[in-house]
Amino acid sequence: MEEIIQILNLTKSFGGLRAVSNVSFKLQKGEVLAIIGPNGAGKSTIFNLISGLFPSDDGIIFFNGNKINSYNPSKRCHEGIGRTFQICRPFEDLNVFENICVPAVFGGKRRKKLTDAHLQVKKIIDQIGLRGKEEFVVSQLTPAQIKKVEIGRALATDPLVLLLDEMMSGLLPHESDEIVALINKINSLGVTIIMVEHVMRVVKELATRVIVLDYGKIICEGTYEEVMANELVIEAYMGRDIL
Amino acid sequence: MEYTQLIAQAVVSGLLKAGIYSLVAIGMALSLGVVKILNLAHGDFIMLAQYLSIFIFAQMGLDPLIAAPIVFIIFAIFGFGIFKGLIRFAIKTTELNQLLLTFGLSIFLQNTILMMIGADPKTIFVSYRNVSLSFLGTEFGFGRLIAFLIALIILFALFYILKNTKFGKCTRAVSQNIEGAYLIGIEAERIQMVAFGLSIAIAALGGSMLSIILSAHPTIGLEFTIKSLAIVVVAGFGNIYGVIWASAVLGILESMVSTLLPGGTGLSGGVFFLLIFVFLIMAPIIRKR
Amino acid sequence: MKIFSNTFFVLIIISLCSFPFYINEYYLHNAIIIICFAVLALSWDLAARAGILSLAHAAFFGLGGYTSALLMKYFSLPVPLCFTAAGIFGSLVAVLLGFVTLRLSGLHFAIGTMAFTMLLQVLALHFKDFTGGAMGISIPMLFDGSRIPSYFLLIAVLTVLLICSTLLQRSSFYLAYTSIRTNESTAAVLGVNTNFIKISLFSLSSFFASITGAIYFSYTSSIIPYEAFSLDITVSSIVMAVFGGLFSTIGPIIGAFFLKMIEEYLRGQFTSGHMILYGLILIFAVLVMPQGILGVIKKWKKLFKS
Repeated sequence: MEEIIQILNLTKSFGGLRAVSNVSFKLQKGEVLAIIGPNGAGKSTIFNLISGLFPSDDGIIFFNGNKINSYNPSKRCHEGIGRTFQICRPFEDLNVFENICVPAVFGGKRRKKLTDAHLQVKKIIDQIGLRGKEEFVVSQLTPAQIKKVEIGRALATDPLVLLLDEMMSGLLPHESDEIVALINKINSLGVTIIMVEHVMRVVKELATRVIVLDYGKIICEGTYEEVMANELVIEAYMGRDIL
Repeated sequence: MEYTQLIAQAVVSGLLKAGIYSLVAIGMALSLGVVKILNLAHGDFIMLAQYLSIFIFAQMGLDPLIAAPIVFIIFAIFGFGIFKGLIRFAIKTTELNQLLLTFGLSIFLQNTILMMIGADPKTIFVSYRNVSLSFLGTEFGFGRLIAFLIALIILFALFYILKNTKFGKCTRAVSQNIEGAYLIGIEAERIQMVAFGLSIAIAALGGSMLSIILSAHPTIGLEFTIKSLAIVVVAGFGNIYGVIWASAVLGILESMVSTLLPGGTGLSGGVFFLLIFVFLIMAPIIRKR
Repeated sequence: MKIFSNTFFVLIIISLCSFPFYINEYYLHNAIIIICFAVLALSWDLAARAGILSLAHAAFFGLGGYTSALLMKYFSLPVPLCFTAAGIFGSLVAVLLGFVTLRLSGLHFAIGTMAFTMLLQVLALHFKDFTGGAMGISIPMLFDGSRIPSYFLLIAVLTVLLICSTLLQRSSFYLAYTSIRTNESTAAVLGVNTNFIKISLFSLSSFFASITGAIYFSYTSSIIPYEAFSLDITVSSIVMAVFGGLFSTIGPIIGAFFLKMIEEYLRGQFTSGHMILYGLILIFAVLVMPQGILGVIKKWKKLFKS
């Protein structure tokens, strides 16, 4: 089992706010890591740092053997980092097929020809269960379908590591079951997954390891059961008894 | 020795110019910051005010500086009207369409004046226009000095309003976060209308001052739009207080280029553009450090 | 989207090629001007597809004109070489300008490009010995004043641009620039090389602006700074593209055609003040049909279908 991603002492401040503070962890290929924690704990910031949307103040990110701190977002995508966004960002001027086609052509290790990309997009549309809706534009989709497009796009980048940012938010139970099944299938194909989640049921079902973040720092790490029993974690979520 | 004399002269005339420039630029900053629209017709309102002042002087003998409050009120109302009738709808469209809309307005205003009054520059001569004052070896027009002082007074009045009155605080709220302002009960659209009217009216005051110094011409609008934009860019978007020192810097630089460089008058306008350019490029780099 | 069928295009091409022989000089001159603006509008649209709202289009128009004029004057190079060199030089300057400005946000970028244009104008005015200052440079007349070959030269340029635009719209570049325009950071995260695409489109757009400038000023046989770097040219290009319909091959051309016709009509009807109406039409168009003529056509089509 090889190490696919290692974060060392990742730190990021925005003005006076320490959003991420000395965060370190490593992942083996095929693991499913869940990052949980109260709102504002810095979880999405970690994703932004890993995918390269802004530079960190300190810390090193190793991916697949390379130090990727200096890589821009599209280069990190080519290396194999795929991500979804908490607030989905589909391209409104493109339909579902075209949306997934963008990363299919440009997101892999090498640029694909349009014809090859089309084949890949068709496969992915089947995988995410949106067959028949290829021509639909964003305004015609339900929130769950938009989430599927989000995942579909990330899949089209041929990712080695998939960063899923609050995939389950706003979904009905049967919708989130669908997505969970999809994530399971993706993971079984060898893709390592890091998920930021609030829905504990899903974390319990999918995660091999859990990290708890509070005020930008890791306060606990372990399996779901270990983490849930930890005092610090309960305090972070529930608050401390003032008495 | 003569060199320092020239520089001192340039600094003084630049500073005096800066008074008017800052009035015009504050207007731009207001419409850019509160209404979030780049008004390409901004300079044309200055041109209109200049013509109006000249008209008032020619028809009623009223000195433009005395007539300034009247011009202010007229243009404030004019500004409210333009906001209600036009700008309000532009806010909802894309930035590109906003540019085109204000550009259409600019063409409309310029050509209306061109047709009604003609292209010959119009000048008025107030009694003190050619009076020259001397200070520490530098010379400047009395008219310019008065214009500068009045501009300062207006600026400080504006800053006071923005900082201390309820209206001022609402305006700052709207410029920082319009949705938040709505949520706490501020009638943002009304504030924007007033801000826009103010932006036009203050710029119009600049036009009044100009009428005692410069001849009026239908096409000077663009120059002032760009110069006020340059000042706002250098001061930093949203930084109203910075407009004063940015106007000073740009006014002085413009004067220095004009005075010190051979054939500099042609290049002096270029100073503005060069500065915009340099600032825009440097700003993100400086921010990173 | 295919609004017009292929036969329609063929008919247009045939009439475009034959009519210069049947009309008088005045209309031919107008047609030449319309084609120049059509190239300007469509080339501006090319960059706009990637979200690049450049206000420097006139900068390249004038730069191309001056480059070509100066090459003719000081090096006596053959005319076609001057034109081509002007185009290439313009595209290289665009690459440099792009490197420096494309990391700026939309509004800053617009202001910066506008400042660049004005700066060029000031420079052209100032270096009198080189550029002739405000009087400009006089250029030997294109094709010795014969209009028909000038017309076909510009048609050729327009055709090349049309082919470029159509090929781009049908290729994977369409996906690249549309995604960049919609949300640049998302496109980057999905693997699109945003800087490369933006600079390439900007450079291509400026190539056409420059070469058209070279040809245009050769046609009018003189170039002066106020005309060459005038903001009016930039805004006209933008207005025509928006009026006709953005991000399409046909839209800007329709816009150029209709707006120029409207302008000529107004100029004929009203001896003075025709620009006043032009300004009003602009305002009206932006408020009532922000998607341009193509947008209106699309809406009608939808209505007819249902």
